[in-house]
Amino acid sequence: MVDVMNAGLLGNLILAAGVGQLALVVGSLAIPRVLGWREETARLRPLTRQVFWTYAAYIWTTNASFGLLSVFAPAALLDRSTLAAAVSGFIAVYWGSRLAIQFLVFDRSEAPAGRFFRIAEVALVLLFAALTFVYGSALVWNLRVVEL
Amino acid sequence: MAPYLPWLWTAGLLHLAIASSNFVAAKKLEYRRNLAGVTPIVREIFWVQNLYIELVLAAFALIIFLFPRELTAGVGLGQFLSGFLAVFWGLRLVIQFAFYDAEIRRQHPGIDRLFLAAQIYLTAVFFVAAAAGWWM
Repeated sequence: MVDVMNAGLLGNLILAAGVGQLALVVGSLAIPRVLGWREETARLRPLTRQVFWTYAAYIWTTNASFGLLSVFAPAALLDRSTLAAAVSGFIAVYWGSRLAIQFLVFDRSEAPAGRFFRIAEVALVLLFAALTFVYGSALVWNLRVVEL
Repeated sequence: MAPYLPWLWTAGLLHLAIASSNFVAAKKLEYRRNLAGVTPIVREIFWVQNLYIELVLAAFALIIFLFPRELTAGVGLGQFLSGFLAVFWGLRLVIQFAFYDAEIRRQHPGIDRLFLAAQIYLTAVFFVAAAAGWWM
């Protein structure tokens, strides 16, 4: 019974994580305009510019697929199969590394100034941390590390 | 040996080959020198994009090698992943034709054909894998 309740709670958390990722996917459509990607990438050679936009599209598609999977099939990520453990673990690493990159790689002094952007950055960091936690919990659940 | 295994192993190897080719592209296209003219934040975003594409390709390869049966079962998470990979590579195929400069592609016909062949193969294999549940 407790086992079922925990699965239910985790399922709801994954559903919420899916909604969060889809919100991020929609919100990230504004990033190219905010950071002036069109003008910036115009300075690159054509092939590098095309690679830049292609990679951006791929990361956007990957994020969207995580969101769609989590919203429409949260149970598939919690069926305690090895595949579910691998996928939930991969998504946890994906967002965990994004959280680390935010602090270790990005020069935040270059970010747009103003209260709106500061709030947006805090919201992003909280979202990355929450996603890492939720999918990390799903990994633990799938591996049966904790039996409650 | 299951008949689908060689097809999926080839697909896994192709993912690793494409991931490796990105390292060659970084050198050949002189990303570092090329990116010197853009703002630091756009430069950092480009390197992070590269890192993520490598991470995603390596993860796909690992999943393909470790879970071929699930990917071809035509149900559940395995079917979703196969469907996603079919869309992922199908989209890449469309991008190759619709977005990449035709003149640049003509200057590198060998590489262009190799990429096209890999993208067609991956799209077809994962489309068939995702659709397996419809006729099995």
